[in-house]
Amino acid sequence: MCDQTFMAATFGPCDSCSKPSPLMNIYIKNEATNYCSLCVEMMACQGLQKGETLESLKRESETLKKKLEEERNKLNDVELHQVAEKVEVLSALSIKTRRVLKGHGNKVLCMDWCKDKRRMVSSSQDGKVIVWDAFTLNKEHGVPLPCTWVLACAYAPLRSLCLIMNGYLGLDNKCSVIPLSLDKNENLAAKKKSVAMHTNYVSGCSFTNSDMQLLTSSGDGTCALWDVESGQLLQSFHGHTADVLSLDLAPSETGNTFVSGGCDMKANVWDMRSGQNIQSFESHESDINCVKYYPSGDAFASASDDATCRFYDLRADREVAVYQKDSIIFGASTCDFSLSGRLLFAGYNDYTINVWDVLKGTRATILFGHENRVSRVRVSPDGTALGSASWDSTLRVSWSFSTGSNYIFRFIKLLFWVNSRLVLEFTVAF
Amino acid sequence: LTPLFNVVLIPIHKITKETSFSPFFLPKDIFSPKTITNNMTSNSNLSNMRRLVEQLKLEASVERIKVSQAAAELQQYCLQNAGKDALLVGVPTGSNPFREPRSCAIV
Repeated sequence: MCDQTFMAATFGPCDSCSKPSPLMNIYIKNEATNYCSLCVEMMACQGLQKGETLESLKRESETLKKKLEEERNKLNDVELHQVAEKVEVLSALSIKTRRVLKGHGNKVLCMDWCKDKRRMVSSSQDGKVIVWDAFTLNKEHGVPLPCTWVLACAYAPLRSLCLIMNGYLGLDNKCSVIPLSLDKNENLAAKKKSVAMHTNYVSGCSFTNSDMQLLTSSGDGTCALWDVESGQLLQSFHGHTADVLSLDLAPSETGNTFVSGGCDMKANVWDMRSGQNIQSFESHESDINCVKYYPSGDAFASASDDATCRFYDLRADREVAVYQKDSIIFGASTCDFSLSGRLLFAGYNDYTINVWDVLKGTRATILFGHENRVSRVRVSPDGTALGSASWDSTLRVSWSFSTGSNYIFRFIKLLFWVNSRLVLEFTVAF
Repeated sequence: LTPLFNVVLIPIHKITKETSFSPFFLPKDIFSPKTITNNMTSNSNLSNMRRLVEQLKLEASVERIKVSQAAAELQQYCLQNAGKDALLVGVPTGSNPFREPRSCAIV
């Protein structure tokens, strides 16, 4: 399509397609607009509805946005921490690192727990994916991969493993599924099957309730639902205007919604069957790195580069809490809830994990120990332990010993010590 | 233990194999740096605007409940499940949390 020759009085960005080109000054319904000739042609073919122009649409969207804010604010009668004032303050948590898993050669980018609640899988920039036993620290499988950007991994409900591999410079934006088996001699890397393909890097993946479908989020701004067996695209989700960095599925068995967060600072809730964007939340001030559903499925939290984590309720359709502190200036890259939802674990780029009291909005404790950015925190499926992966190439597993039984334990130790001392005294005397 | 600069944008001609091993870059910084966004100002595109207006109309029609009610229900869920939350309550000292039977024997 070539431009018609015409007298161009102005040159600049077109009002419609933003490309700089010679502009035609035209009047639509007595409003002056500047379109490049291509857009004039397109507009003539598009058939604008009666009275609809770019300006009127802009105005309509502004009024709708304001109306949405008003509707949401009408129901904001009280803050979450005010409702939670009567709840008992948390007693001092005794969560400490109990295991350090060493074995990766480079930054650990992602980790996930297996449904048997004991095994963990982690992927690292040295190109290896390792399956660990979290208590004995045994490495059960090691899968070497041909590329270095293994961004994420997830354990499927029925024991197969999903990996996202992005090749060098984003040339290989695939998501692969590897069926894991007990036979250690099997060459696992040869059995991998490529399932998803995006036009830009794949940032997150998650199996749906069965092993059959895979949900992926990508740097091209879309999320997609794939059938694992055939590799076919079942549904795609458009609506983000920048990279989608994270997604999470609603926890209920029958649920068919998921939430995604991205670099456009928005968190969107989607219906998986229709592909529709149901709700959208825009209150972060920077990229949203991670989103996670509350265990009951009625709310979700997001961790962002603006150094805050925010808590959104889906039925009230608004943000209900912000977890921030003046002393925290580094972005949060990951977050996860404890089993009851009372604690929110968030990993930050200042090498710490802050544990927030979800109801009261205060920080319950900090977990130190990592020597580089925390890239992922995940609570085990039955809520007993917290696994964290970091760029210092280690993983840490932390859990809490109850302080009550501590005294009994110590008392028994004391008895044994006294006993042994008495025996010693008597033997020496003789 | 002072962390250094968080994120640095690097121009495309400087991306070499070494950048994939460098300590500070995530794919979102390298593969689609935000300075090279052609379609990000898509608000001025007519069809995008129309889609936006439709989306906003849909979101405005969502049924909402009061925050006080939503907060009360979140709190109730928390308190109901607090006893089972091993990270909150703790496991008996010295025991293996992964072999713990899932009965509520933790007192």
